[in-house]
Amino acid sequence: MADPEARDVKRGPAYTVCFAVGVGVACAALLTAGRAMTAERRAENQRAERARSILHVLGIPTTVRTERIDPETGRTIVTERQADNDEILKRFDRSVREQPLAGRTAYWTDDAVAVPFTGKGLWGAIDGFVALAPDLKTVRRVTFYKHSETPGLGAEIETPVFRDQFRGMPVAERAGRVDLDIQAITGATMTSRRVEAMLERTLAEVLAAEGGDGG
Amino acid sequence: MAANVPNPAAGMGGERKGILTFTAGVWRNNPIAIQVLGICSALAVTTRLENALVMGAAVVFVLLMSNLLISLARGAIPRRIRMIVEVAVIATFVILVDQFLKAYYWDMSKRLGAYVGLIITNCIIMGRAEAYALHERPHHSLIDGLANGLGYAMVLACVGLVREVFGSGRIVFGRAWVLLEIPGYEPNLVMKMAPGGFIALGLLVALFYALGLQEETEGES
Repeated sequence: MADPEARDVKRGPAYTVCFAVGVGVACAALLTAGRAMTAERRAENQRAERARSILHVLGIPTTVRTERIDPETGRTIVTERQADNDEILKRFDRSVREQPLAGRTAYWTDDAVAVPFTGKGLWGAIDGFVALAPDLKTVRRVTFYKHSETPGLGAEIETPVFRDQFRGMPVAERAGRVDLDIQAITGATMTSRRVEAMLERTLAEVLAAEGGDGG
Repeated sequence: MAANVPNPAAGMGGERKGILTFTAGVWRNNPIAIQVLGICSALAVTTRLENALVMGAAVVFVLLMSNLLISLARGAIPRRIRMIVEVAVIATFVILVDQFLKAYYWDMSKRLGAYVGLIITNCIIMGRAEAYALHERPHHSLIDGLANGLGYAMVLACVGLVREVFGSGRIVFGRAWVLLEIPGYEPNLVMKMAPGGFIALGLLVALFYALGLQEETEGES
């Protein structure tokens, strides 16, 4: 093979510039095509993910149950699977209505309201929903639908073990502050503390807004 | 640089060279176990077997594409900007993988998080482009990419298997497809956390050396 240095000298700097531009254009074209081809699916996944999170926090099932009777034993066999995107969005439209609460869009059913919250996690923003009883005095559930916490550590906030502790937690307000008592995750103290802080702040805002106008 | 390195496969017939290239990537010069490259992702995404397999597949794809394209263009790439060209090619395919996962494998995309994007900075891929694809013909470069990708994926899968089994006592794919479950196993958080990754990976590296798989590559690095 020819000496690459000598080869470059012979070709001159204009060649290098043209080559760089060519590579740039080719890569950009590939990326644009890739984005365009997946844009629809990605947007739909995101929309469905949000709807799934809201349904879940409101206690509406996000699974599909099918029952069939075994012809041999006569017993009922129940199988359950996660609902796909279409089913989730349909269920969402059917059972949830959007109505503002404390300056943000909240999602209501007859027996709960889901309030979106956001805050800083360890690596990036954490977005989620907290569902309250209609009187806003008890937490029903909490979900996190978008975060970039460490898998296996901070990301454990998604697990039922962490989230189930919020069920039925009283929202007690004292002097404009809400104080929640949350069990942190081992190895994810920062994430746990920040989650606690963002929930307390959100709930305080909700109570302040609702208490103020007598709602 | 590479011109001075004694290459055991130099001057050999194409087929023999292909086989040597393959075994080097998978065993004798395994990128993680022998060269100890790219262990950031090997530690981070191996809490579950499924994550490790998908990450391995992503790296195989990126390595194949970058090795192939760099090798095809090796006569045309100006030497001074070769690294920039390599990074541009690698980054393009990593982003394509990321978009693909976001569109068709949403759950996994969420679990792997930033680590898919971080394949761009994985030294194995740029290392293969620099050390191999820049000097070798496309079909050998493809074999090299495949072998190194498989070598990486294999180590990740082993670490993922050990950590998932000892960490949670079971192996789960997808949302609820349980492959294995040890009844009554008490989850062992250490294996899920960073120390578990180091322990499992360290044992695996020790195993590679204990088996003497590195010997033939002495002097190649």
